[in-house]
Amino acid sequence: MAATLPPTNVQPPAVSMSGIRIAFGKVVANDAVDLEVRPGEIHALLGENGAGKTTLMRALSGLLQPDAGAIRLNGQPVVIRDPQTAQDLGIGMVHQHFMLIETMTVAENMSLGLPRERAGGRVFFPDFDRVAREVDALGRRHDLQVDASARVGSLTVAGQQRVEILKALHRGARVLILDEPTAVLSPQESLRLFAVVRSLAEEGTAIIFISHKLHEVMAVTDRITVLRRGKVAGCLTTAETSEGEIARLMVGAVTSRPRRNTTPRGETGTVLRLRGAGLTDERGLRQLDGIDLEIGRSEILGVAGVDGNGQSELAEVVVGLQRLSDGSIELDGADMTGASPAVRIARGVAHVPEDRHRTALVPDMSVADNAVIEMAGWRRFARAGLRRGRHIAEFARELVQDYDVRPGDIRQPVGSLSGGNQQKLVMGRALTRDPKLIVAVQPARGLDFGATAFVHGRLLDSRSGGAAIMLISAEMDELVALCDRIVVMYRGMIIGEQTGPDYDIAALGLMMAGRAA
Amino acid sequence: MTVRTAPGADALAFLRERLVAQNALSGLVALALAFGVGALLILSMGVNPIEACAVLFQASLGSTNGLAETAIRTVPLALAGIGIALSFRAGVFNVGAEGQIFIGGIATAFVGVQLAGAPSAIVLPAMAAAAMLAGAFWSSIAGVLKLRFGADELITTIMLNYVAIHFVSYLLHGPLQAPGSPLAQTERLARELRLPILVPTTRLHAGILLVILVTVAAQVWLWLSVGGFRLRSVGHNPRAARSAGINVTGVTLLAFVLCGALSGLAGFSEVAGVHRRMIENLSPGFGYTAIIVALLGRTSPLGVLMAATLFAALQIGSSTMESALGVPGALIAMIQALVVLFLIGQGALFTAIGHLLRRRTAPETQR
Repeated sequence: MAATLPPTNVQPPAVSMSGIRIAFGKVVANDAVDLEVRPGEIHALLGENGAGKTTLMRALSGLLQPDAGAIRLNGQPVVIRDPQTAQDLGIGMVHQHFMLIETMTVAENMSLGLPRERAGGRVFFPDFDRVAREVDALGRRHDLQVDASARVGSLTVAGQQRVEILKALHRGARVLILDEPTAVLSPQESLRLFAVVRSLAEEGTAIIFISHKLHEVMAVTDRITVLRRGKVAGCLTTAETSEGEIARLMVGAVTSRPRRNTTPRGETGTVLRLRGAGLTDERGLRQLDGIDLEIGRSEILGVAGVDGNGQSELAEVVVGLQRLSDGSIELDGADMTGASPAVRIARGVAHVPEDRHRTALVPDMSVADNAVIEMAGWRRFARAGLRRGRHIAEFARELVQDYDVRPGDIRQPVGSLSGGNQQKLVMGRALTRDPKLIVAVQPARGLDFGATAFVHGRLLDSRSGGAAIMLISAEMDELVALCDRIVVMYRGMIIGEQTGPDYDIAALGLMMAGRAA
Repeated sequence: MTVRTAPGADALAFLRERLVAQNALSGLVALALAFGVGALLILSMGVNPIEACAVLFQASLGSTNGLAETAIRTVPLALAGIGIALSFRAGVFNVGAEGQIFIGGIATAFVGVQLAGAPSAIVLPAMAAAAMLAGAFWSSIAGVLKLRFGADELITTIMLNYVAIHFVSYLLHGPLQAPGSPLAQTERLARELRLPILVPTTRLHAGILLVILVTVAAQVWLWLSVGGFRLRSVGHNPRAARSAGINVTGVTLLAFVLCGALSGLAGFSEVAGVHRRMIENLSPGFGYTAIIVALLGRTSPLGVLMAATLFAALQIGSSTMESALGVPGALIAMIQALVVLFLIGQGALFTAIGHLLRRRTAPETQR
C-alpha cells in the first residue's frame, strides 16, 4: 500500500538498532542485526520461529541486554536497562500472551505500575476514576473503545488486546511493538486492528509488527525486515516486493551447500500412506485437510512451508500424538489410524520432535534413562517388570559413543547437556533401533555446522538402510540437499509437490506463499 | 488425552512446583530452620530449648513404651505419606489421604463385622484388601474428574476429604452403628481379627511390619521397576513421556489408585491395630501431616519413613514436654507447619539473603 512516509532526511528514525548481537551461551540468537523504524511507519519484523524476532524485541523493551550494538531513539543513543526504562522512553510492547490480570478491571490493570503522578498522586489508592476517564478519551480518539470498569476476564480476546494497546498508549508509547497480534484474532477482528494500527501510524507512532502471515504483512506494512537464523536476511519496501520474494528470504535461498543426497534409491515399496487425512482442533479449526501422502522405502520426503501451516500437526498425527479427525494412516500396509504412540513405536516409527526440551527429553532424568525411555518395557531392557540396569547402561554407553554425545557420562541429567548433544541423543535413540519410518521435525534447528552435518549424515545413512523419512523443515537448503521429493504445505493442505534432484526454488517459494503451482 | 486446566490453575501449578521440585538438601534445611524458629519460641517462654528437646525425645524414644508409641504413630503417617509421595512423583497433587484413611477404616470395620466367625487367616487379609480397594476407589473419583474434566485434584481431593468424613459419620450414626451403643462407632472387632501385638505390655501392633514391607516394596518399585520409571517420567515431563509411548492417562490414574490404596491401608491398620473398631475420630489429621511427611522425605519411600518416624516422635513426646516444662504441645504443630513454609519459601529466602549480602559487601559494583 502506498503510505506517505515523512521525509527521512528531516527526522531521525524513531528506532535505530545497529549491530545488535545477543548470545545465550554458545547459541547466537541475534548477530549484527540492524533495524530502523521511522516515525509513522509500520514496519514488519518477519522470520520463522527461532529466527530471533522475539529476542530482538526483548532487547528493545529492556527485558535483556545486547552483548554488542547500539540502540538510538530519535537519534539519541540510549541504554534500555529494564522494562521501566523502556516505558519511560516511550516504548510499548503488546505481548502475544497478554500481561493482564483477568480478575481486575481495565482501569485497575492500567493503574498497575503507573508512576505516582499519573495515578493521581497516590500510591496506595490509585485514582481509578481518573485513569478510567483518560482511558475512555484515548479509546475514543483511536477507535479502541473498551469499558474501563469491565473486568478484563469478561472481555473477548480482541478486547483484551485493545486494553494492551491502550495501556501502552496511556503510558505514552511512541514506539509500539505488536508481537503476532493477529494470531489470536478472527479475520474481521484483524481488519479492525489494522485500521487502528494505521491511524496510530498516521499520528506518528512507529509500529513494529511481528508476524509470519505474509498476506497481512503485505496488506498493512510499509517496510519489512526479514530475520533468518539471527541475522538480517533483507530489508524490503513492501510496495516493491512480493510474497514469493519474502518467503524465499525467510526460508533461505539455496546456498552453495553441496547436494548431499546423491545415491539413487535402491529399494522401493510404500512404508507410510496417508489417505484423506484431516484434523480439526478443539476450537473447530481445520489444522489438516485432505492430506494424501506416501513415503517409500529409502526415500526422504521433505515437507516445506512457512511455520504454522500444519507441519507440526502432520508430524503429530503420524507418530500418534494426535488422532486424525478423518482419513486413515497405514504403515507397511497395516492400518495405524487408531494406534497409540507405543504401538507405532513398536511397529518401527521413530520420532525426532521439534522441541527437544519439551517433547523429546525429560531434562531432569539421566542420559541413560532418556536413551531407553521409548523402549523401557521391551524385553531387552526389562525382566519381570524390573529394569535391567546393566543392559540399559550398556546400550546407553554404546549410543553415547556412536553418536558422540558429550560429555559421555550416562548418569548425568540430560538437561545439563548442550542443545547439540541433546539432539544427538534424540537422533541416536530414534535411529539405533532401525526404524521403518523416521519423522524428523527441524532436526538441525539451533545446531552448529558440525552437528548439523552429523545429523544430516545420519539421516542419509538411515535412508541407505531402507528407512522412509519424513523431514519437516523451514530451511529450504536443508530440504533441497537431502530430499528425494518435496511437498509444500499451506493452511493445512498439501499445495504442491516437486521431485528432485533439480528443484525449482522459485516455484516452491510461491507455493509457500499460497500460490498453487 | 487433553488435560484441560481450570481457572486459577497457574497459581496451583506454581505452588506445586515449589513443593515438589526440591533439591537434595532442601528437606534438611527446612527442618533445621523450623527447629531454629521453634527453639526461639521455646526460649521466649523462658525454657532452655535443648532441655525441652531432651525431654521430648526422652519421652518418645527413651523407653520401650515410648518407642512403641512412636512406632504406632509412625504407621499411618508412613503409609499415607508413601502413597502421597508416589502420587507427587507422578505430578499428581493428591491431598486426599485424610478422607481415604476414613474410607479405608470404615471398609475394614464393615468387612470385619460382616465376616466375623470365618477364619481370621481369610478375614484379616480381606479387611486389608477391602480397605485398599475402598481407598483406591475414593481417590480415583478425583482422578477421573481430573482426566475427564480437567478438575484440579488439589481442590477435588480436599473436598472429597469432607465428603468422606461426613459420609463415615453418617454410617456410624446410622446403618453401621453398633446395636445398643450410644456412641457413633461400629461393633468391636473379634479378638482374632485384630492385628497381633508384637511386644507384650505395649500396644505395638503388626502394622509396623506392614510399613516396613510397603517401604521396601515402594522403594524398589519406584527406582528399579519399569512402572516406577514410567511414573517418574510422567511426573517430570508428561509431554515427553507421551511422545515416548507411555500411557500418561493410565499412569496418572495409577498414581491416584496407589495413594488411595496406601491411605486405605493406613485406615485398616488404625482400625485393626489400635481402635479395634471404626470410630468417628479415627484420624487426628494423619492424612494432612502425611503430606508434610511426604515432602520432607523428598517423596522417596525411605525418606518418607524417616520423616514419618521423626514426626511421630515429636508428636508422642510433645505432651510430656508440655507437662514437664510447660511448653505447649501445640508448638509441635507449629514446627510441622513451619517445615512446609520453609520448603516453599526457601528459594525466596535465600534470594533475599543473597541480595542483602551483595548489597552490603559490594555496593559500588551495583549498576
